[in-house]
Amino acid sequence: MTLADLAAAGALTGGAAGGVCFRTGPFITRLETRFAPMLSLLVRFYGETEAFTTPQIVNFNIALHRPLGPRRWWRAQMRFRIEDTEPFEPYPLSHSYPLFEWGLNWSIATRSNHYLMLHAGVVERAGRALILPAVPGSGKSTLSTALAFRGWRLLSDEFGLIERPSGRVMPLPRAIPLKNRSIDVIRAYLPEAELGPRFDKTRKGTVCHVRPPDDCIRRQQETAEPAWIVFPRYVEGHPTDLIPIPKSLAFVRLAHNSFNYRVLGATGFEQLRALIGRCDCYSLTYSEFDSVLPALAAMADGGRQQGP
Amino acid sequence: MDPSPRTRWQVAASNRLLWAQWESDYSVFDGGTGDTHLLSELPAEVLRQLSQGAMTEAALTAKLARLCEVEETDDWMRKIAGLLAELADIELIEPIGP
Repeated sequence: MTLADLAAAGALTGGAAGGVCFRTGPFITRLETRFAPMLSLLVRFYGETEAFTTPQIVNFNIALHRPLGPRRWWRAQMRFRIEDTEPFEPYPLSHSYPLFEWGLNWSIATRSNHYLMLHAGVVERAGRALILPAVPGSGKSTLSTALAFRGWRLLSDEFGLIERPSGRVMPLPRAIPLKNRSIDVIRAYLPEAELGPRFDKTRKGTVCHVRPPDDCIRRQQETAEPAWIVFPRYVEGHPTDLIPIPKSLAFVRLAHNSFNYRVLGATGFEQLRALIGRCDCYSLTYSEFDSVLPALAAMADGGRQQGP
Repeated sequence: MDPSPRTRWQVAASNRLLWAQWESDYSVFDGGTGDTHLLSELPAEVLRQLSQGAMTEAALTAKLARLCEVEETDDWMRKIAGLLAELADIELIEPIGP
């Protein structure tokens, strides 16, 4: 059964334990909310994902609820709760959807230490994964989106989940939150991409989510072999420059990039050593999709192509 | 403390070191502090030698000179002394009594 099936049956807010249980990659999330616009967007973005009405082993037990009192009517707010804690200040009601997505990200990043978690976009082609680790603002999500609609399968725009002990990359496909200028860039470059509503004046500026392609949702439990680690950086006007870097440097950069490398201790070191050992490592500077997409395709096909 | 010539150096007692070798560098995980260090050839060799047993600075300097096929000049001795101080600063190694 899919989330869309549940919605069609009018069962989104019901279920045995209340709320709706659905799959995101390896995780089951239970979401309890009665806020209809929130549920409507959830179904729009994740309609093809597996959903459950019977009790499940739930990884993230999340509730979005409106505070009682005057705030219910005056500058209405939404609160995010996971288990018994509320890790964030309330958001404006109109930002409920971004709050859910960010809250789920936070929940994954703080509660999933059975994976080595990289802060990275990940896409796959012919069973091999391209990992794009980067800091916020480097264009990671924008580049991941372009790749996801140009011959690669999106595994994640945010999390590189490295499975233990296989060392393979576990997908976690989600709606991709484009921010500020990236929204118009993607709208112009990928007219086939379905974008949700714009959320203005959020804590990260204007945000607009891209609906993940159905194929990546259907194949969200199909892992991939890590093959390339590319550290991307968007620099306006810069030609595409894809340069091999030493693995020792890649190790240092990935250790700093990971959400939980230090938490994992010796296990994290062993996982990172194995990951880097099986990947080719590059630094990428780019500004144009028309140049960077062929360069990455050439890299994946066995050659390496540099911009003019 | 300023180590005396009889001071021996050893890998810090609480450390469990894990190594990853790359092209010409090494990543070393220190189980004692939870830190990961990137070492080039010479400091990595210092650490490797001390992993095999405690040594005085003089003995280590002479052994490394033989391994690297260099003269034991003043510059060389200063270089090894500097590396010992740096490795001690990041708690990978420690002195043990005279």
